[in-house]
Amino acid sequence: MSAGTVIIPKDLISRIVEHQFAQGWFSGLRMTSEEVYIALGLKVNEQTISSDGSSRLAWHRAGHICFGRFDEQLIEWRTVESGFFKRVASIENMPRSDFESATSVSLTPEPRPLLLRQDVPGDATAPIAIQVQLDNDAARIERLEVKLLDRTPAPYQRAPSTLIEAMGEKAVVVVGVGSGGAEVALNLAGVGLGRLTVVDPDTLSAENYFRYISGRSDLGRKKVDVVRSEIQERELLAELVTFDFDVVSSADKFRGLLLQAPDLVICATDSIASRRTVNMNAVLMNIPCIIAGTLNEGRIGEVLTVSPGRTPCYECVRLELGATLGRAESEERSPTPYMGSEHDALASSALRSDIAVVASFATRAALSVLLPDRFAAMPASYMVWGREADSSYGPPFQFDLPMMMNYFSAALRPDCPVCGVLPPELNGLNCAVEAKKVLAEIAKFAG
Amino acid sequence: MADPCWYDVFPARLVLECLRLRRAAPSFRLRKVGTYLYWIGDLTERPAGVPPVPATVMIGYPQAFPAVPPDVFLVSPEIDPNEYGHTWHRWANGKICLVRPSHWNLATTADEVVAKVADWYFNYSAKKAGLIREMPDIGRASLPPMDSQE
Repeated sequence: MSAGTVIIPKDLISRIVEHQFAQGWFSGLRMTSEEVYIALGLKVNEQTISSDGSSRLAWHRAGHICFGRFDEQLIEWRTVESGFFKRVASIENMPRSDFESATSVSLTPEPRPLLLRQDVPGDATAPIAIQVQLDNDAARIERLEVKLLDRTPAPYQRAPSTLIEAMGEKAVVVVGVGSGGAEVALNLAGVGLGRLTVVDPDTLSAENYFRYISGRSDLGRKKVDVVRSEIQERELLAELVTFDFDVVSSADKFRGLLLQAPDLVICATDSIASRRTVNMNAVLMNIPCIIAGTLNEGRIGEVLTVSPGRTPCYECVRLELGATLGRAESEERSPTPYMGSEHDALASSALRSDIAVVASFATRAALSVLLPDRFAAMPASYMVWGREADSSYGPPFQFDLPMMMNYFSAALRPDCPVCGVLPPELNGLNCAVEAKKVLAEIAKFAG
Repeated sequence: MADPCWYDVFPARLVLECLRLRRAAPSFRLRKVGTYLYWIGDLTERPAGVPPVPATVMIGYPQAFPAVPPDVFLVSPEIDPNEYGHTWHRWANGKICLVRPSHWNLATTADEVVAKVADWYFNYSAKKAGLIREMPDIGRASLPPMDSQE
């Protein structure tokens, strides 16, 4: 375990190698509450050189007034003989005289950080950083971890490049970036999503912290802006577009977004009206849609994947669940957790872990829509997860075991008012033409 | 390009609304303000013994329609603005509450809405006249036979 961490932009090391500087100081920030040192520049003789990569570190917490202290002489560095370099790297103590003569550093009882690099021409091997202090006429040495930082971000180094490349072509709209929607947005950005549009009118409150992607530093900010910040914080490359309108009262603006033909819409809102609005418009405009959320105080999660015209929509499933009334074993047992709800809102006291599970399933369902050749379709379009074993409700909301997933194959309903068969009185009519006639007729009376 | 209205993406529903309401209540007229479509028409049924004051109602289509219920307002006669809440089945902004939002059936068309508003007006009139103590949640209050006007 290291005694702390030193973060150094690689270009500073390159400058040292290029100019063959023997010694100098890094300037930068130090987190006073923790042993984290952030080098932002070089001081050699009287010369100051800033790092090209310092912008990547501009937002580090150490830069916050309360937490950081800018230091012109943050960490001293030395170029040392190769044999000494290897020796220091592997021991915890050495005679004071050996250390001071090799480094020309005067030791003191106070620990100080020191960065050492090898005296090998053109060598840009990672330096080592140590915390060193005088202890009974010996140099006591503790290693610090060194993180070398590239100038430009490479956030997906640990993800398959073919996946990142394929996802870079995709565009997703996420409606509702509360706890669940924000997780899904980050999940998709984290696998290289090319364009992400987020829609939510809400702002972050203190009571959101316990399960949100961000906390007190974003209090009061619009959630869509918090998502933007978190994506930037992780240096993810998604092109991000944000809107703070309400998808129900501004359904026309929502349809305007769908005109741009995203590959997928994900609805993670917490009201029935908003889910129905998103579902209806996505189906009518032929955009695949995923509706996800939790019920019953987080004990139940649901993820519905809608392929317009091919799989049941949200209204089909609501009809199907209502139709199971007649098949309930007991009239006293409510068939679904939807029944008996007095509220339009699906307000939830779900745990952070409940949200994470449902967000994970929603993300996986999204990947099967976006990259069907790479991610197999889920076994059924409607997935229901139960945190606890529970027989309070009828299928698919019955769970024999905790953390159980049910896959429910609902049917496309001919009586669905969104995607079902048109009523007989419309047979033979060209509704697009007839609607135009209606609008033209009333245009005469327009106010 | 302007943002699409609900009837741009769901023309069949607009046609259905027109077909059904014009058949059920031919006196209602469809009008438009900007992109907002609404019906306006008169309801005349009142309980027997209550002065026959017709009500003019507006049934408007919000942009999220039919995922959400239409907006229903009484244009006339004027109602006391303090008469709202569950007692009066009316929201504080004056909108008449015909169904709990989470119970809204997307298949409900304007002709059914007019029938519900007619019930509401009947019940409201009966309560104002002291003929009933509470307006029922569903349907029309039971009263002695009355003469209805077309």
